[in-house]
Amino acid sequence: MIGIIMFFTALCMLLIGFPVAFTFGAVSVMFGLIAGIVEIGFDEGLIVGFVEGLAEGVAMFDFMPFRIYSIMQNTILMAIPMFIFMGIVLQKTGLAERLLESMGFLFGEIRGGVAISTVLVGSLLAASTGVVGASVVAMGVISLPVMMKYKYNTELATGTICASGTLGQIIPPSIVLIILGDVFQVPVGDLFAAAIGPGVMLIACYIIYIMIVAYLNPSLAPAIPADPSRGNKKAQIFRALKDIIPSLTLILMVLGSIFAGIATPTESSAVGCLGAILLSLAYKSFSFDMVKVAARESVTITSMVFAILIGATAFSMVFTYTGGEELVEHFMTNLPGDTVWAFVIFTMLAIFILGFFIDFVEISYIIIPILIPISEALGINPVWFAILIAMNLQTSFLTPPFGFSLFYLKGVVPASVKTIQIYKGVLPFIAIQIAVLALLAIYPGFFGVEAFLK
Amino acid sequence: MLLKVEKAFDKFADLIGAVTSMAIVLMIMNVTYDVVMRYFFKTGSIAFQEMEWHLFSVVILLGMSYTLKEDGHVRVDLIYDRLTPKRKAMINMMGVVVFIYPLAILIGLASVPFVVETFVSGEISGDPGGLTHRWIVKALIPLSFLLLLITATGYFIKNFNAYKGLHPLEEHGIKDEIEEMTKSIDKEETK
Repeated sequence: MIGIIMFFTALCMLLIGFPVAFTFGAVSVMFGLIAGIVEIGFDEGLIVGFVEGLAEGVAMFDFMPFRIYSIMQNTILMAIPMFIFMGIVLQKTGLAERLLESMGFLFGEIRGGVAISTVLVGSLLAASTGVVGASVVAMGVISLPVMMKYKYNTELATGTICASGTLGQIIPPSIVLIILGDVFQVPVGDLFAAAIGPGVMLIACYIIYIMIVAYLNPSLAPAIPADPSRGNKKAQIFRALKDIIPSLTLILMVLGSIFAGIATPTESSAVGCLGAILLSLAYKSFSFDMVKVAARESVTITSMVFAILIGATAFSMVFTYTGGEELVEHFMTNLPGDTVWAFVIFTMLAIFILGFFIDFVEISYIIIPILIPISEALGINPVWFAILIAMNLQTSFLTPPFGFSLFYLKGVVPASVKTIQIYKGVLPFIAIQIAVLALLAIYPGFFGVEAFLK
Repeated sequence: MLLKVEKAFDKFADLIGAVTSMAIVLMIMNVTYDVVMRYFFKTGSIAFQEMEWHLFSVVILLGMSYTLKEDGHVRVDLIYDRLTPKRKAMINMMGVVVFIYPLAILIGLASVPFVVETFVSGEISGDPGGLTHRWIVKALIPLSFLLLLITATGYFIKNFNAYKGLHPLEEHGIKDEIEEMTKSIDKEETK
């Protein structure tokens, strides 16, 4: 019971706003000590019981160094700083700007064309840089004015930008998938491969949605007139290809070597860094300053993830010690209806709701480890479950009012765009994401994933 | 006076930032080197492969302190965002004392015997040709929590100064980040 109280206390404490990692760690320490005291009891007098109980609680944390030491040797996590580094270097080559410039008008002359181009650029950025904030900002600064100028509906334009910018969460190589691979103890390469189907499906659905909207109501996303100054179609396509191919080749090599089983994600990410540096030399954006910025950024993100992992480790230690796991398992396996489906639906709802408030890193390291023993006992395929969670977490980037992407877009839109328009704009895209999530849940075979282990 | 102290702490944290940034670049080169050796020359050194996670440990363990100074640890900012700078500074000061100190002291102390044991037994890598002196990498654990205590103190002073109104609360919020990105895009455009 202490474990459950601890869980809810920690959630409440988070609301104060102090960094999550330390809050979770400290609450666990506090409850660890309490659990120790409760365990020993006061049979031998108040003071003796208190002192011994405290010692019992402290002794629990003697395992922490061993846990931390095993995290240090975790080569899967090593891929995180390197993929971040690679992404930032590619971003600094001005990839987003170039792609938006060259591809922005490629489909402009069909209805909804600029929005469709934005989705495509978003997908390419997702695979190469994967930096959600930067992608959204670049599209907000470059594509949004174009769409506004040609009288695109504001909601549609902002929704498209937020949704396309967020694709980096599901399209490999993605940090979420690496972390989930670590949590579920499944090869990251398998998750990357399994995420491609749903990711492509999502992109296709976005495009189809835009086409339908533009077809039904042309005034929402009008075709823009051909502009001869941009050269003929052939020249435009050529220019777009020239901008896409170098980075796309790099990313295909990185992913290809992982999928082919030639290299581990960690090895590929290192080579990817080298490739990104070479590209930045080719684009003349290389400078030692840029390397410094990229290194610092990946240090802060990686150690942020790691600090949460330490907090979560302390938490799960105390949680297990107090028997919290059995309580959760008992609850989850006694949900009404079919056990497996009740479990999947309940967890998806819980993660969706938690996603409004807390970050994907915390959900992955604190909530999901509690669920894994149950999903294993139910025979659920961890790859399928992990992709469902990843899709679900991606949605949390878009859900108003705390969606991460929304914040970035809000920061760059002109004053004429109201916040409520941005919120309204993402709703259809959230609906699409939920629909694809449901499709993956109900017909996993369609994406080539098995729902259950045999 | 307190402002000077704060600056000194900031400098110290920046030094940690420089060391960890170095470590990450070295780690990338290290892994790339190992990959090239393995796939193109079919050889490899265990010592170099172990060096990878040694460098990674430097990044994640020591980086924690630098990230605190940079305010890079995620918060649930549901309520925090709407508070006055004074309240925010208050929360940060309390957080240091109530959350970081006990956590860092407890885990830091617990890891000392862990290192001493390794040092006394002279543990080395289990693989032939691996690195020796295993205690050094293990010593990063207590060191990281010691550094965390120090930088957390600096963070406390910084927030105390902000609370007293000596300087505005530094917020490495999303706004600055967006501004920076827009600037770099504008630069591209004018090129």
